[in-house]
Amino acid sequence: MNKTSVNKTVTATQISTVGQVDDPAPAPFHRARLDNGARVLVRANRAQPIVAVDLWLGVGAVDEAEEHVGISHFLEHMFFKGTEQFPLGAMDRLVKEMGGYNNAATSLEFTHYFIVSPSEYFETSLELLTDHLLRPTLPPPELERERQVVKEEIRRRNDSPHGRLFTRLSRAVFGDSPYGREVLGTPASLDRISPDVMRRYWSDHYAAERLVVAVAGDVDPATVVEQVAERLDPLRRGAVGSPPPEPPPPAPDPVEDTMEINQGYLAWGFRTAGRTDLDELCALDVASTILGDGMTSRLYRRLIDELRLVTSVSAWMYPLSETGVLGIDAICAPDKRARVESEITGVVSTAIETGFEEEEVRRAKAMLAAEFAYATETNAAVTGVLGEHEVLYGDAGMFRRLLEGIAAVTTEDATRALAKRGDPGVGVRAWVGPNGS
Amino acid sequence: MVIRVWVFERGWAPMVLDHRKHALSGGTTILARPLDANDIVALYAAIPMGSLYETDEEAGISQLVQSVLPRGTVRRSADAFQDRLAELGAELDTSAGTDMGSVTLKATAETWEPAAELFLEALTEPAFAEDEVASEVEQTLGALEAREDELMNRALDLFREVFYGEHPYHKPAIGYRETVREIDRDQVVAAAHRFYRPTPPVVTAVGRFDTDRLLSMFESTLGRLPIGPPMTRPPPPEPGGGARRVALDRDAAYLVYGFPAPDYMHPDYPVARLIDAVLGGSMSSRLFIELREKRSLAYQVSTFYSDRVDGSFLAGYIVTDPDRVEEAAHGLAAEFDRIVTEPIGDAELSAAKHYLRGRFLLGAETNMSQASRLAAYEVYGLGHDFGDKWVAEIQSVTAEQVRAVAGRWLTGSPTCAWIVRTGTPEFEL
Repeated sequence: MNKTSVNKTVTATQISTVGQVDDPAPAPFHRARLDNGARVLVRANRAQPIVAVDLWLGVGAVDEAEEHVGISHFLEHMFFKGTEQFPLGAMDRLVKEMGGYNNAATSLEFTHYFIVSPSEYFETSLELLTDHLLRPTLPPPELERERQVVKEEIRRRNDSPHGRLFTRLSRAVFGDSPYGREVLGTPASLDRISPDVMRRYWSDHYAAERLVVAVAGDVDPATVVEQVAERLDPLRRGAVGSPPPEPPPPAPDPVEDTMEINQGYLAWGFRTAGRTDLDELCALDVASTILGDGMTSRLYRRLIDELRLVTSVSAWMYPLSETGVLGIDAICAPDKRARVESEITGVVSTAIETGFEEEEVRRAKAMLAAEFAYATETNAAVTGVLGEHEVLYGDAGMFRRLLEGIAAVTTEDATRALAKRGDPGVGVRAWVGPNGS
Repeated sequence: MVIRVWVFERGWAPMVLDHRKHALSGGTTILARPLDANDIVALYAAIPMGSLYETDEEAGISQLVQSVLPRGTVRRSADAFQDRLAELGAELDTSAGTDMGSVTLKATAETWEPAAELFLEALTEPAFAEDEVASEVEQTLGALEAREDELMNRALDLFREVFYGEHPYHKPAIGYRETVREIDRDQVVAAAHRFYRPTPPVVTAVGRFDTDRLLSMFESTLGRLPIGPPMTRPPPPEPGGGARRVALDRDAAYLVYGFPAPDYMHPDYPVARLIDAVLGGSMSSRLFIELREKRSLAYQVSTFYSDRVDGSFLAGYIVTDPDRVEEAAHGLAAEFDRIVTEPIGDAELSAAKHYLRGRFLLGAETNMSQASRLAAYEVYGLGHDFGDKWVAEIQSVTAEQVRAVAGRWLTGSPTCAWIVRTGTPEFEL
């Protein structure tokens, strides 16, 4: 590496340290913005000779044209089809030789690509990922082959009752809005994606302003920033898209589907303010934990311990840019569906009417804090947390704000947020049951 | 086109998980590995139990014992026990598989002591209250049905049924509807005594804790109870191969195809791990490239090496288009054939060696994964450096050895489990 050129690239780059040693992990970490707008996040962790390199892009299904739904995810598959320097198969082979693993994921709002390996291969991981980001060949014959693989992925998802349930639920909750899209697309939308369409989508969206490079492990932060800056120098700045607006209220009719299965799969979705209201988000995190996270939760105690009505039940949050979902799902014998729905309504209504108790709010907060600590133990998990928060909130340190927000939630906050969003009268239901149910 | 290769041919640096071994008065072995890499404390108790030690009539009893265990002790009701864990932000999990069960605890450096008290209480004074058993039976019956709805589970269950025949390993760890339905409190208590006898033989601890404090807590509880004589393992299975198919009205087909494979202590074991890495490890494996990348037959295709003390197998699996099952089945079989008949190239062999070495390192990144690795080595008597030894051994394996081992293991009659769409014509491999 040419030392002079590195220094030249990095002069305009500010590296700042976010957080203190006493802050919850993964703080403290380093953050830098490169000249072209790309952001770099580094968390040094010398415990083991392992490193995770994770490219995050603020590109997902909400950014797609209606006729090409699924293209972000399809592009994620095509990313692995080689560059001039690393022909088809070379990246996977090299990662295998490094003793690492690589993978990628696409959602409504982001795409990310990562390699985890022994830390001696940090530079190789970075070069592989950035070269594929900057110079993918996207060969047309591979596009045809991979289209079939994605169709197999759709088949796999639809053949799982859970996969089918969540596809139905998000459509029911968000309707025709981009937030209700299937990330995998449909066979018909995939068929409309030509090599030219794919290349244009890549060149329009894989740009510096949407990119975050997150690195965690046995590395030196300053060196990492220098190397990333050098690799990404050719990347055009590009522009950031704006998120789709909040969709109109959902239709209240339940959506139903059947397949050859034993049990019934039920989900209930309540629209939330998503990431537009962080106080509400924290309050609903606490409320959903009390309602449906683990054996101490109200839904578990009522539907499993007392009534033995369901096989499993849980509540969760899925915050998006302008909207979101507070979800409840359960698995039960198909003939118990009506009873289960009425009991879930009962548990939620009681919580709204009589409010949560101090003790359960305290417990939920302890659980959320500990779950976060356990979920950031590996380097791959750390790059996940930093990258996702930077891409979605524009601030990797947002996890601290959210942890503090959760710690500050009062019993009244949690009850009020649930009352505002969780009215069973406005929730949308989805059901996947056995044929004939 | 020349691709630069950054992989350096350096010697294998062992990744021994340093730890101290202690014996409690009752005989329990404690392996303690204090670390300050993070704030997490992981405890792992290993108990010989599972489908190996069950009759067909009581299939599922091990898993039921384990799932009722954290539902209350003689001191605390199930609710009080779970509330206290939640307050501490601690996670206590239990499991039972084919020949080993576990009780694990994850806590923070701040809460590990009170959390460890709950862990020890569950291990030494479980209540197994009647209504908790009944509730768990009910839930397990539902879980059995839900598990079957995900057909990959069902395909693997079917594979085990064919592969193991009459041997106790043939049963799914969760049991069958007919057996789980009949389980009552007396059976659970009797089975718990039989497996725990009365205390786990091995407990491992990894993370930020004070070893003296940990040992004194363990001594005053577990240490007062004797470990029983070792469980007698039934004779190992003698798999014979065979095929079975189930036809359903579903959108995807699920195929599993495999052979017996070397057990942990078999001299062929390290080479077999290489064969597994070549066939199914990573996105550059043969199955991935041939069946997914070249033929677009599947999104999900890989191998599964069920490696154990006895009865190990190596299987390939694919989830595919119901109209292309015959092609997919032949594709799986062809890759198992090819590794027997064609010599493996140097580059592919070298990549597989590096892959296993790296994955071995990455596989012990969390405190809990280290605790579980240490416990398995101890319980199975493999030696604390078992992993390092086989990983070191593979570095000198030759292409000829790969072909010889593949020829010894992957040429008999295969075991096939097919879940296909109703109306799919019969086909032969």
